[in-house]
This record gives sequence, structure tokens and C-alpha cells, in this order.
Amino acid sequence: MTALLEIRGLVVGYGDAPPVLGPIDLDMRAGELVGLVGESGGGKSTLSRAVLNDLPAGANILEGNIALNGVPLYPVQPQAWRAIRWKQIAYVPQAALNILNPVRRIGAQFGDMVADHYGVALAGEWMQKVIDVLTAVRLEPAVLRCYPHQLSGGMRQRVCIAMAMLFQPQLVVADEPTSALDVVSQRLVLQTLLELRDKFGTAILLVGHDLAVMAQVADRIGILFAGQLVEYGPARAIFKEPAHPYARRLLQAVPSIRVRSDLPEATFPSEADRQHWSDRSIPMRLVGPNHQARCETQ
Amino acid sequence: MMSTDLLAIEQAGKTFGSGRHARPAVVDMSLSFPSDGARLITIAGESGCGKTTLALMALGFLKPTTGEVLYKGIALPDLNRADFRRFRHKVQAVLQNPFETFNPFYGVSHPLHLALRQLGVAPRSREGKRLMEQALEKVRLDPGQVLERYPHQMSGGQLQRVSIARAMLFSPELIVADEPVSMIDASLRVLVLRHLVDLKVRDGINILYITHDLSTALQISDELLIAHRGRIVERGDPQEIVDNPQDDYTRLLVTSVPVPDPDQRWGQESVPTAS
Repeated sequence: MTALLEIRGLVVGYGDAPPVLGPIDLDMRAGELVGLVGESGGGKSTLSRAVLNDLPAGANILEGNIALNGVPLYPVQPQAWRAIRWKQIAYVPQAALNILNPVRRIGAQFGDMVADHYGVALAGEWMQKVIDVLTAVRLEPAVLRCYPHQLSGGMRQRVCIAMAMLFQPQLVVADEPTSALDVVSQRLVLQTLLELRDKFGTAILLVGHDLAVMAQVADRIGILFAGQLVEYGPARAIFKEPAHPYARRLLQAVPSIRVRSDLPEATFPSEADRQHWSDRSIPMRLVGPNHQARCETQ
Repeated sequence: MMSTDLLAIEQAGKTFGSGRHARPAVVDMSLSFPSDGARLITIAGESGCGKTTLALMALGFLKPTTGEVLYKGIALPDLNRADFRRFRHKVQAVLQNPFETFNPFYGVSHPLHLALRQLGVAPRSREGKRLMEQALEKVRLDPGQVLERYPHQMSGGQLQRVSIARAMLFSPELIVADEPVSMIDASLRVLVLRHLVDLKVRDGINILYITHDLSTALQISDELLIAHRGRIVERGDPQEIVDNPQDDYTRLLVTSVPVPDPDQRWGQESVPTAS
């Protein structure tokens, strides 16, 4: 199967400073849910923002490229990006309250999207599409008349998912979409994402730090450390046979909900580990079917 | 009588607003910390379940509308000046967002200095320095590195540990920790929680841990209370509750906690959307 998204040798940096990310090689297939995990500052947000052509000010792609359906996204062609953004690659943000406009009703915000991308008013066929996508995220059409503050955090997050799904994009990048939610809302939001993936065949790049969440939803998991992809493979392989020491450390740090034993050990790596794990000269190698890790041969 | 408890919350209720706008945030919640032996009691529940309101009542920052909060057998409003001051010193808070609890204009040593002045110790004296160093070492922070810094120069986990160190200056009997780790990086959470457990085991300090994270609650609590819509719906031994939840909401909460195993995924049973 050809890849939907191909990241090849991607290096991101700020000016002349040493690169903060990369080189990264990563593939995503159509309809696949890929989870990216790692510590803060590990590069997972930078990577997802590179896919969205939304790098922070001052950050640049120094080397490599990202291709969607074989077409390179960089260097950015503004006109071409207008056709890609939201129609092919959409985004579910971390803090839905900060993204939705607080002084406009949800309906008006859907209207903006339709007007901007298709130049038509939100009525008739488009209204039906909006209602369909709201139903798919288990919201009543009545939310269209609400302001964001009238909805709970989980509902707002589902509004954002509905917005991302409206044009049936091929890829949705979701950056910690549930980190502000309690576990019950979290489960609902994630199950909604999975249902939409099954319904529309949308691939999802889910950025997060919670490995337990990834175990529940991801097909493949990528683990980033110090700007490097240190392990990438099927979720089951990552959990059963983690190869990279940082991956093992992360897995040990997940507290169990089944058995009371003790708190897991802290994942804080020592300076020596940190040095060793960020050694860029160690190549990715295959450690299992479809499963690669950046570690020395045993 | 139970009046010898260190801190007792007896059928406390809190209603915000009145008349048509009355919104009960907490209804009839009770819990107590006996004065013998340190305990870690957890209140777990979703946002809006009343757990923070209860924490504020336990700290004496909010007055219950019904019921009462007793410190060593005396209701908080009945404590005399000296005893209330003692209550303030001995019952300490560690709050949710370390980036909001620290004043960005002052160094992180400022809250420690204020605490020392409360205790009548000059912050710059040899004694003051010794106490600060002692408290910071309890949470494994290097005083030389920490005291010169401003809040924005530190991570959330470090700031939360400074909060704990500040509370430790008072040699507290009880620390109320309201979502102490929800704003900080996942890899640092265990570290901060470990310090809380250390306080209980090593220093004999009672902890009221408020959280929505059932997994960590299971690992560290002596008693677990599940709050839903302002009421305690279930309470008891943490393992017992997780293994065999009696209440529907508790069951939903327990089954919604993601299990770190790709072979034990959530079932397709529907999740109520009314949240």
C-alpha cells in the first residue's frame, strides 16, 4: 500500500541554532491512527505542526520534506495550501475553548468555514452535512445556536472534531485533544474519533503523552525523544516488546488501574541516559515486523 | 466521640447563588482524618463534581452552607484567634496550577520567605536559611539552584515541589492537594506524587488528594471517595472500589480509565453523552 503521508529526512530548526527536530522518517497509511508520544520538548508538537504548515515563528524546515499522496508539501505554495488545508489536512486543537470564537455561535463558526472554502452560505445541503457531522460526534443540532461557553469541555472538543471532519479530510492532526478532559469525556472523544475514522477512512495523527490512551486507540505508535524518533511500530509490538530504553522507561511509568502495587518509578532520565539516547549516529533498525527502533544491536 | 479527629468534615454542603439560581455544588459530604496515624484520602471525580469546593471548605477558605468543618473537635468559626492561626499553619494547601500560584514578579524564594515570617523567623537569618534548605531537600530540590530563580525559569513539577516545600515549613498535620499534578508534564507527575507519599510515610502528614486520575488514586490512597454531582456516591478501599464498583457512575469512571494494553481495549458499549 502506498503511504498517505510520507515524512522523509525532516529537520526543523530555529535559525542557526542546532536543529530541534530530526532527521525524521515516518509513514502513515490511509485510515491509520498513529500516536506520537514523548516528553514535553521532545518534538512531537513541532512534528505535527510541520505537517500542518503551522511551524512556530522562527522555525524552519532545514532539510527533508513531507509528501501527501506523493505530492511534496514544501516549499509551501500558498494557493495549493488553500486547497489542502482543512479539505485534506484538518486539525483538532488541544484547548477547544481557546480556539472557538467566544462571541460567536457555533453555527456561525461552521458558516465561516463553508463560506471560506466553498463560497456559499450555510444552508440546504451544507446545513445537512453539518448536522450529519454533529450527529456523528453525538451532539444535537441545537449546539449550533450555542456559544462556546455554554458547552462543556468535552462537547467543545467534539465541536472541534466535527469542524475538522466536515470536509472529510484524508488526514486529521489531533494535538493532545483530551488532555484537559476527565476520563469519561476523554473516552467519548476518542471513541468518536475512531468512529469517524472508520466511517470516512480518515487517517489520524494523535499527539499525546498518555501511553495508556495510545494503547486504547492507536494502530501504530511513534516515540520521540530529544527531537528524534527513537521507536516506531505497531501498538501491540511497542507494548509487548519495546526496544528502546526510553520506550521501556515510559511504559514502566504508566500506573495500573488493575492492581495496587506502588507508584511506578519516575521516568526522569539521568543526564548520562539523555546523552546516550540523543546520540544521532545510531541508526533506526528493524527490530520486528514493521517495528523499528534507534538502538544498538544486542 | 469522633470529636478527637484531627479534621472532620461533617455533612458539609455548599450552595452557590440563591432562590431560582441556587446551584448546590456539594451536598452532605463527610470525611475525617483521625488524629492517630497519617492517612491519604482521595476524592476522585469529573470536573464540576464538587471536589474543589470540598477542598476549599476543608482549608477554611469557603464556609459550608450546611454542616461543619471541625479542627480537633471545634468548628472552624468557633476557633479562637490563636487556634485559628494554628489551624492555618497546620492545614496547608498545594493547589492545581503552579504557574498561577507563584507571583511572576518575585523569585520562587518569596513564598518561602513569607511563610518564615509567619512563623516569626527572619528569612535571611541562619535559622531561616536552614529551615528553607531542609524543606527543599525533603522534595529533593537543590536550594542553591532553586532560590535564585523566577517561576518562569522552572518547570511545573519543580514549582509544585517548591509549593510542597513551602507547606513543609509549617510542619503541617494535613496537606490538601487539589489536582497537584494535572497541570504538569506526565513524566514528572509520578515524581510529585511520590513526594506526597513520602510526606505521609516519612513525616506522618495526612494528605487529602483531590484528583480525576483514578489510576494514581488506586496506587497511593488509603481511602477512596468517588464524587459525582456534588455527592459522594461510593467510598471505601481503593482496590475494592476498582475491582467491584457498586455505583453506576463509579463503574463508568473505572471502565473509562484507559488500560495500557492494546489487547484490552474499551468495549463498544455506549458512553452517556449528557456530560
